[in-house]
Amino acid sequence: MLLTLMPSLQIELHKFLAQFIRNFDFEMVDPKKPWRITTYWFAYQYDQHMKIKLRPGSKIREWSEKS
Amino acid sequence: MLHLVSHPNNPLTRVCRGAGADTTSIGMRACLYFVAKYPDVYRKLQAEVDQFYTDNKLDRPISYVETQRLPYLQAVVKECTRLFPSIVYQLLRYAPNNFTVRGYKIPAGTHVGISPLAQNRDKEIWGQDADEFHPERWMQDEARTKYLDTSTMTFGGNGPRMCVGRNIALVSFLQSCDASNANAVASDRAA
Repeated sequence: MLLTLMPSLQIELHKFLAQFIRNFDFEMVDPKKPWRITTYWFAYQYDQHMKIKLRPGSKIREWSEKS
Repeated sequence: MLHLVSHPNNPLTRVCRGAGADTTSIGMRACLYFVAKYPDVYRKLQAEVDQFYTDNKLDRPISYVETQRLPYLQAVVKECTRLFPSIVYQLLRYAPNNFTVRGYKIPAGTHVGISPLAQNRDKEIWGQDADEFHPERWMQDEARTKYLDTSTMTFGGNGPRMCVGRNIALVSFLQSCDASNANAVASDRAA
């Protein structure tokens, strides 16, 4: 059951990454300590702190108000 | 991003919210991590997406079908999920009779499985730079990409024991979503 949902992962990741890099500038707060990972079934990341800034000319606010 | 507004009585929806959300959020964090870590990848990816927006005078969020026209974006997503698969646990199977792996006899009925992490970083498949983040490995030539696509254990496996629901998954996924959001995804597919 779990793995039948993997195609949705593939779809969402492409849209997410393209839209994110189109609309934001981003960097790790501390590249030496990017995250903490705990692995069981999933490999969860914790404490992944990033600086995120809206890019000049980004229309993501307009778009999200429309939808 | 896709917002799921669910019908509360649909059991699939509950699985979507739990398992589907986990695999996706892990993938998102992995993508941001690797792209932030490699400035040359960051610049190249942003340039590709920006170019697509300019060329197509796009004034809305990019659709999934459109993202499939961005070769570098696809390579980056594949490389991020190769090095950091959302599910790292082995999916166990019973070993059949007369089962041998590289000279090791495995008794019938033994629980066996492959770690997605080990598979996705096997030097025999990926080469000496298996542990390195190198999206270009997916863009060498068609035959090589096909081979790597069938070797990666990120989207439900491959071969006779791959995820049986891979092709029907999307249909089920759409049926369990709110109609308006389902339409948004459906138009992505039809575009």
